[in-house]
Amino acid sequence: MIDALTAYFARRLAPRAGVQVLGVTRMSEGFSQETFRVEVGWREHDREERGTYVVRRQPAAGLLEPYDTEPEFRVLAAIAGTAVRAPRVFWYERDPAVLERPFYVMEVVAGTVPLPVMVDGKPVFTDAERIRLGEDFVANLAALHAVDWRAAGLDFLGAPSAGDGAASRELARWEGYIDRASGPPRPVLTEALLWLRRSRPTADATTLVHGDYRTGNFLVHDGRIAAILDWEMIHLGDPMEDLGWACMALWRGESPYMCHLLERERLYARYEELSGQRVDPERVRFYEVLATVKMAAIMLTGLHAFREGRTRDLRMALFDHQWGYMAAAIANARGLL
Amino acid sequence: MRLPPATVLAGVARTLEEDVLPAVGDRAARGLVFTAIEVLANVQDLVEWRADVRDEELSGASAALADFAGRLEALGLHAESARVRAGLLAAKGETEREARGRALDGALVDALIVADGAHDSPGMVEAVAPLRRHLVNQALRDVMRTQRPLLNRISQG
Repeated sequence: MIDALTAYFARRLAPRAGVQVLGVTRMSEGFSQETFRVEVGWREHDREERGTYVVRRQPAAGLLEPYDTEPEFRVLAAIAGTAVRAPRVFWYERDPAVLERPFYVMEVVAGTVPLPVMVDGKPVFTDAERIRLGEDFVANLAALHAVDWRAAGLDFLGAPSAGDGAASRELARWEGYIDRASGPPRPVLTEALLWLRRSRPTADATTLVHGDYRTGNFLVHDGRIAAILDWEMIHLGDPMEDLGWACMALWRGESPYMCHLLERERLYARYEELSGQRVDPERVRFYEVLATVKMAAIMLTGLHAFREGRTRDLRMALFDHQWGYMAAAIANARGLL
Repeated sequence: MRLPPATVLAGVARTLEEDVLPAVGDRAARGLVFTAIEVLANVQDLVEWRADVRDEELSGASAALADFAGRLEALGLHAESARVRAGLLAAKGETEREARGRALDGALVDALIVADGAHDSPGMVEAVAPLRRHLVNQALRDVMRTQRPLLNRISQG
C-alpha cells in the first residue's frame, strides 16, 4: 500500500520532489468506509516538508453496499466555502490500480468524535458542552439544507419528484436493501413497512439531506463542531428526513436529549429559527420510523454479506444476535411498545 | 437469532485463521489461536439453538395468529380469516422446528398484509392487537436474551 500511495502522491504533489509516504495508519474501526491517515514527506527548496492527509477508500462489501464514494466527494467539493463545516477534499481516484478500489483524499481536521453512548449512566456531554454543541448541530444542519444545490451543480444527485416523491424514493431505496438482503421473514419490519407505505408525506422543499446526521458523525475541537463527517448517504430529499434520523431513539439511549444534545422541542424551534422553514412533526415522525427501518436494512445487508462469505467482519454476524434490539426500536418508533 | 450456529462458528474460525492469526507474533498466543480454531471446527456441526427458546417463540406466534383469525371471523371478514388460518395450518404442518419457525414468521407477515388491506374496516385496530402484542413480546424476549448491543457502537463510524 505504501508503494502505491507513494507513486500516487508523487503524481498529485508534482512538481514537489522526493515525495515519499512515510506511514499509513487505519484511523477507525468504522463499519463502513476504510479510512487511513497518511503521512507524506517531500523536498521543497532543499527543505524536508511533511503533510498529513486522510484517504477514504471505497469498501468491497459492508453495510451500505454497493458503494459509490464519488457523490460524497463531489458534494464535499461543492459545499466548500459554505457555512457547513466539513472536511476539504482534494482528489478523487477511480483507477483500481492504485488501491484496488476508488478512494478520495481529504484534509485532516483536528478534533475528536464524541460517541453517543452513556457510560455508567453518565451523560455524554456536560450541560455547557451540550448546549454549545447542540447549537452548532442545528446551525450546521440548517446551513446544509440552505445550500442551493442546483447552483452548486449537484443536480446529478437526482431530485425526487414533487408530492410524496422524496418519501417514496427513500422508502423504496431501503426496501430494496431489505429485499436484496433476503433472509427469513421479519414480521415487525413488515408491520413498519406497511405503515410507511400508507403514510408517505408530501414534502414542501427539496434540499441536500446528509442521511446520517447525528452525534458520532461530527468532530469536536475546542468545544465546537469542527466538521460534519460520514457523507456517504448524502442525497436530495425532504429536509425533515435529517431531523427524523437525528431524533431516532437509538442515538439517545436513556437521554432525554435528541442525539444527547437538545430536547426535541428545542431542536425543532432552533431549526425553524435558523432555517426559516417550518418543522412538520408528522413528517418527522414518518422519517423517524423510516430511520429504524433504514437501520434494520443496513444491519440485514451486513448480515447478508457475512452469510455469503463476502466479509470476515464478525460484527456483521453479531447483528443477527442484536436483532431483538432493532425489533424493539422499530416497535417503539411505531408506538407498539 | 436466525443464522445457524454452524455458520456463525465457521465464520469465527475463518476470521481467527485469516485475520487474527497473521497478526499474532507470540508463539504461545499463536498456539492458543490454533487451538481455538480446532475447537470451533470440531463443535460447529454439533450445536444448535436451544429448543425451548424457539418453542416459546413458535407457541407465541401460533396463539397470536389463531386469535387474530378468530377476531377477523367475528368481524365478518371470512375470507381474510380463512387466509390467516390456512397460513397457520401450513406452518404447523412443518415437522422440522426451524422450518416451522420460518413458516410461522411468513404467516405473521401475511397476516399483517391482510390487516393492512382491511385497515379501514371497523374493529380492525382491536382485531390486529394480538399480532402487535406478539411482535412486542418477541422483540422483548430477544432483547432479554441478548448481551449489550453492538448497535450502539455503530456510532463509532
